[in-house]
Amino acid sequence: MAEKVLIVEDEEKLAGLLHDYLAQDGFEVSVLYRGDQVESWVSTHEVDLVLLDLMLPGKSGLEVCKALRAASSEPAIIMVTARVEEIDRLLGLELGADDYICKPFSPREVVARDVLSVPRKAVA
Amino acid sequence: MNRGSSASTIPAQSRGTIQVVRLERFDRLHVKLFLVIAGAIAGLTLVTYLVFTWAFESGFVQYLNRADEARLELMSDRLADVYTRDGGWAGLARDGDRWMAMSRDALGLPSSAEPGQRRELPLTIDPRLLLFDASHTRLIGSPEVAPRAVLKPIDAAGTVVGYLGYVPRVELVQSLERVYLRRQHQAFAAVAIGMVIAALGLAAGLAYWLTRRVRALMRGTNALIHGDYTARVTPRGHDELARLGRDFNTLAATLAAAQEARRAWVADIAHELRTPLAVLRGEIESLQDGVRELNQDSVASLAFETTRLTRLVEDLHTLSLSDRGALTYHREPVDLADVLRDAVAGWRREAEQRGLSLKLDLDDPTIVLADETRLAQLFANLMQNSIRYTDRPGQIAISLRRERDWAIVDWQDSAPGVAPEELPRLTERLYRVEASRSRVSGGSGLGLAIVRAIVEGHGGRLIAAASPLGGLAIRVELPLWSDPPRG
Repeated sequence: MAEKVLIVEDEEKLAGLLHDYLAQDGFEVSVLYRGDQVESWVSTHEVDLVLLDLMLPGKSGLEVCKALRAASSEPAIIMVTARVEEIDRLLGLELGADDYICKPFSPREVVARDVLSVPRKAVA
Repeated sequence: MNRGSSASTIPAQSRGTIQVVRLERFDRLHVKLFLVIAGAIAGLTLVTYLVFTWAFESGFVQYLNRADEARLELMSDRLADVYTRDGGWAGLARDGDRWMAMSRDALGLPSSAEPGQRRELPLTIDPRLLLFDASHTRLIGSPEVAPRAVLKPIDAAGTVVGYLGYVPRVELVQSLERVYLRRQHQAFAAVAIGMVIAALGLAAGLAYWLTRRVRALMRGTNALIHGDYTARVTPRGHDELARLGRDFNTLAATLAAAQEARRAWVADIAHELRTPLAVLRGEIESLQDGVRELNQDSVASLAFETTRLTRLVEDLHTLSLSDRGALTYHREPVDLADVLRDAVAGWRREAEQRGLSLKLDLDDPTIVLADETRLAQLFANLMQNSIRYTDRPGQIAISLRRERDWAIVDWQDSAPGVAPEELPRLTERLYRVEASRSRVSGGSGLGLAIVRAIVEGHGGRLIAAASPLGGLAIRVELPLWSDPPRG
């Protein structure tokens, strides 16, 4: 059964690119453009991995991450930030994200990390 | 030629430098203050010492002379008695001991003193006493001092029967007087030296105290020069130095803020460039990897991203020009209503495609002195802003009216609105109410900042507020052009 990935990214083109790459690698990919839609989506769909942008309309990636961790559903989370400096701060917050990626990323790299993240989560 | 002449000036300059370096050790504020204060106090002390010494010496001599004269009054009375009793001076003139005893008695000295044992007694005038008869003939006393003697008439029953002569002191002759005076001098000198030493200490302390804050300011300034904008001084009191200290702190804070603003600005620009670049890079990689097909659509998408980058760079350029004051305005009287109508006409189709209705309410004509091209840019930015940030179906209402000396453009759109706390930040560069939203619609985040720069460049004002339509209200105020009076 294909691993299910949710992309939360407001930049439509980037979301589209990630979608295409991950779909080609055999993932089952969904895309959301707003932060405030994530929780309801996760509660009604099966998700193994969330690619979560930090700056989102509606609700910030930080809050979404906290909310997901507080809820019983436990998908793997990869946070995407636009600033290198922010990664240290995010690590310090101990949000419970599984990995951090900094923009501008290469979709190839993201796919590689996704492939690594998902099985680890499955084993744990 | 030039090289030769400049070479010849070098030794002169270096000589000057050496001299400056040598003087530098003394050319310090605290050294100068020390010298001034110490010099002033030492000078005053010296003058005081001299004046005191002189005044004391002359006063002392005067005092002694007056004391002598008081005693001579008594002596004169006694002599008048002797004259009356003896019927003349002959008896007294012959009897030296009697004269001696009398004078000693009158002067309050031990009368038993033997003539042979005459000592120099302190504060006494008896060796300087003389007796003259009525015709100024000297009867008793040393002939050498007679010409210098001051004569006091001896008055017996209303007639002058003779003169008591005495030689007034011109200086202190007696050894005890000298001893006394020397002691006084020593005391004065000791006080003066003590005062000078105290003055030196005081001057050194004062100089150190006064320049301490200057040194603190110097250290702070040095830190600023070396880029440490956290340097602060602790200003105490309310004098000029304290004010300078506070100004210094303000300056340091301003520098720190400017540095931080520049850093943030560069980071923001990098961030703005990063997103279209990330998209471009990702799309190109996807073409390379065969994830996407190379076709008209994918190339159009690449072209769109490069256009976005180009616009961003152009907006940055416009803003940097306005920052340097180099944004040139070719101002001439233009009808703001015309400019607005033209600007709106160009966007009407796009607005209507996005489900936005346009409403114009213009006061015709409203003449302002302005650069028409910049004004068109201004309204185009406002229009883009409204189109991007208004939900469909919505409306955009633009009104223009004259109010006293101002032309006022009210630019309003319908929901969504902007939170009141975010309104003041709207015209900040790269500020977006929902940080990433405008990138979707292709905005650079610089539109309103450019609007503000253009409005302010025309001597106008820009106010952002909540619109009664439910969205954002931007008010642009430009000074009306007043017709020059015609002859």
